[in-house]
Amino acid sequence: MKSLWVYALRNLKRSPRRTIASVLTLVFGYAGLVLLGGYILRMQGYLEVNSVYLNHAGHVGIYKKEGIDRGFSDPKRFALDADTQTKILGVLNADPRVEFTAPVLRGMGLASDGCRSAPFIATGFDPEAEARIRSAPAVLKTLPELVRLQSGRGFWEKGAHPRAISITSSLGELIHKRSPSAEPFIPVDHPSMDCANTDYLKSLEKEPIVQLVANAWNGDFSAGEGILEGFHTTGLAFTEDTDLIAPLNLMQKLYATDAITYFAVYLKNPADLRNFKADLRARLGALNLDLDVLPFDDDRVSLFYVGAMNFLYVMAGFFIFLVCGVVTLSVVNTLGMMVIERQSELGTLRAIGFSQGTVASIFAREAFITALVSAFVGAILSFAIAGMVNAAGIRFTIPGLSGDLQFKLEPNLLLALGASLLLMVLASLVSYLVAYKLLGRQITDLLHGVTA
Amino acid sequence: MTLFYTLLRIAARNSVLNWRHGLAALLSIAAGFAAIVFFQGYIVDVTRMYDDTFTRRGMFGHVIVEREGARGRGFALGPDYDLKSDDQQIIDKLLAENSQVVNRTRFLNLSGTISQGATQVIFAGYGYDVLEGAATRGKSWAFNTVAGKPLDQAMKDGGEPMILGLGLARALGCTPDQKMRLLTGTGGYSHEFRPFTCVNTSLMISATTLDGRANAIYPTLVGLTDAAFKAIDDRFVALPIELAQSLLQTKGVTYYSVELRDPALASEFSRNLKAAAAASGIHLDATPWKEHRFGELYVKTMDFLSIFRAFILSVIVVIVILSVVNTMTKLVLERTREAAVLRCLGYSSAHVIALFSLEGTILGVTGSLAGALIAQILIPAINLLEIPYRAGVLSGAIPFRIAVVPELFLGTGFFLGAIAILSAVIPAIRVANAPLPKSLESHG
Repeated sequence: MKSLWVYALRNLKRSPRRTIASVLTLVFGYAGLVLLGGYILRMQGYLEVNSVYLNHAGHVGIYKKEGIDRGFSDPKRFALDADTQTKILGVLNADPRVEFTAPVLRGMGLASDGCRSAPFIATGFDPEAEARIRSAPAVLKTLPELVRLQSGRGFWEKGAHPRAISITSSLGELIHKRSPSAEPFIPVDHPSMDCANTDYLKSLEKEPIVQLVANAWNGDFSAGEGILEGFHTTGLAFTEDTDLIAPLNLMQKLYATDAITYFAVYLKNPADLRNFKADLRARLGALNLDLDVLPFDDDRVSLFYVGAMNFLYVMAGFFIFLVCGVVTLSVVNTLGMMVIERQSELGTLRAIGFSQGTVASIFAREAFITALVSAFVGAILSFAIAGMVNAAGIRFTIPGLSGDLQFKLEPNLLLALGASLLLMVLASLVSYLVAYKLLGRQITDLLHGVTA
Repeated sequence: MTLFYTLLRIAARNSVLNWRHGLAALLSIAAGFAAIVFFQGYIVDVTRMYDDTFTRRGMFGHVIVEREGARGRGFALGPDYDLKSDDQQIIDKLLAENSQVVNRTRFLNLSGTISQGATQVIFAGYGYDVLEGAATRGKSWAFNTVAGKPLDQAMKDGGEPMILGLGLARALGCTPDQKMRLLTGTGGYSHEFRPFTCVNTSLMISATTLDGRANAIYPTLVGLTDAAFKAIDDRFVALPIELAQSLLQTKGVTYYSVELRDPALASEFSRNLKAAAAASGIHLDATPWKEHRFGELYVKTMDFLSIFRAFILSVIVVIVILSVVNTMTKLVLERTREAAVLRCLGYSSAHVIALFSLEGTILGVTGSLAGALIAQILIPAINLLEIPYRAGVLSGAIPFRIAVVPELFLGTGFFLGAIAILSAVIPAIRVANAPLPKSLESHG
């Protein structure tokens, strides 16, 4: 067996030019796979952290059954009441895999400066939990651009007003609030109080008060005031026109409820997600609670994450298919030529007793060694390119995300090993099958170099 | 000329005689050809789909005309940012005088709350010129509702019609009766009425008027549409412009979309219109939608696809070049003795190089034709499957398709043909100029 490996190695050394050409082909294919994989891993990490932390999905969300779809239209019926919250917290607090849990309330309404109004979609969140989210290592590492407020301070920060709210700059533009208040609020008196009066409209822009109007969950009309202290970004283009975040108790007051829309559960180790979700479903099911346990990658929770990743997977699938196709044909070509050139030698091997399979396995070994060397060189090349690209600090934009982000490639060892395995298996298998087929002629034909 | 034909005949015969070796090169070229046209065809299809989504489905036409600085938001930015009746008269006159204009549609943006019984949710949408909008949508998107009727058809029945995005409709308890595969594969939906059911058909739309007062209307829901992007679809409302104006108590509009005869003239048209409007006393922004805030997603998507295209194609092209060069080089070098014999018979080095170039050309052309044949068989088969997948921010799954672009086939054929010729010429120069005695002793 060992001699066959030695024989294969010698054959490769006999045609250095061809071996180098084959290695180069495989190196490019391999590097392409690893770099594309590195890009997908980077985007997956970015979108996951954005969805889980910044958009408050948690690693897992616990909703009333159908609450994710109907929570906005019929919030009272599809929210978690105080009693259910207590029971859920009992289960979550007993699980050591949970890092922390945050109650979340989602609601809609109109934000207004008194004259001009625009729809908002609010997230009521516990200030302590929000502070924890914004200082989580994953967030600081992956989303340093997004975690910082665009201006002002967050309601989770020390010294914030109890009714402090944060809105996106786009929503601010629609209700003519362009700068947050860092100073104590001084009401602006204006003699006009007329929405058609330009001076009065301008004076409203300086006021930090944002009027919030909504339907309370008991069906009554409700209104409240928030003090605008910060401007944030959601990181998602489509939600930039409407997003408002505020302390949970302020939102509960606005909607006249002690209920919440869902619990966002943050795990110590996100790799536990699948098992945790299954266990949680079982435990909550035992309490006879009518709940949905939804991971962050459910399209009802994070459609953008799912859509963007699907698109990348399609691209990757397409690329793998094309690269594997071209690499396969390249191997077939090289092999075809090698068999033709070496048919007398191969005929001799067959004549002295080597079986068709054994001779074909020599070619498979040659392909395996070529792929191994290619994977090694390709891995070095890929990690070097990734390092250079990351150091260059290139900025780029992604459709659906607001602002830009750094173009990074984050290949890892697992990816490199997976690509190596794919390449080695593909090259060896194709070589074996093609060689086996080509060697299926009479030994005399091979010895005399007769072409089929 | 006679010499050329002689060399061509020899090259053709050599290609047949060395078919086994030639087959390897041919396969490389065919595979490379198919890989390139497959991937480029996919990108072209996605680009066309996005272009169609904005130009036709979204009724943006080619140019957006609005008050200077409005950026698609109109009076949401302030009382001076919409286009008032007088402005509209001037714009309509300017557009009517311009032979490039095929059609124009006025839009009035609106947002507020929509209620059904105890359920109240926010909405954002627009009122538009229903008939003109239908004309801009064209045949493929004429029927733009997933269930119910498009606004232009419902207008014939009278009343105050309204259509809702599917996401918003679901929140209000309205769903299509049938679940079906809706996209036709070439653009819009099949032109047939599909019923839908609502828990409660009485809907009220409330919004704040320009002077800060609340107002409400009670339109009739006639259809459900897919607003293409999930975040928009969950809040989307479309009304006839007259109804939207009565809700907001205004005669103003937010913007015009203008459809041109020649989309390539969009930038020039925009500049001229802006200048003509300024001369008439109004300050407008006229912008091709691809350069407008509305087209931001399109531009970002195209940029994103360009990065992918550059990356993936460069890898595929390098692999293909290496594979073809490797095979062709081998093919030429192993025939060193044959080249030397030709030179002994009186052929010059240039003839030998020309001979191998012709062989390269034959392989390049045959390989490209084989690749084109593979693509012509596989692409329609793949497209026929209409494999659905979710992509980015789109609200629904889209079918995986690959476009067949003749220019792409030709370009790829020329490119690979050139690679094949170059791959043959470079080693051929070496072979043709090698010392004759040494070449005659060569074993390939």
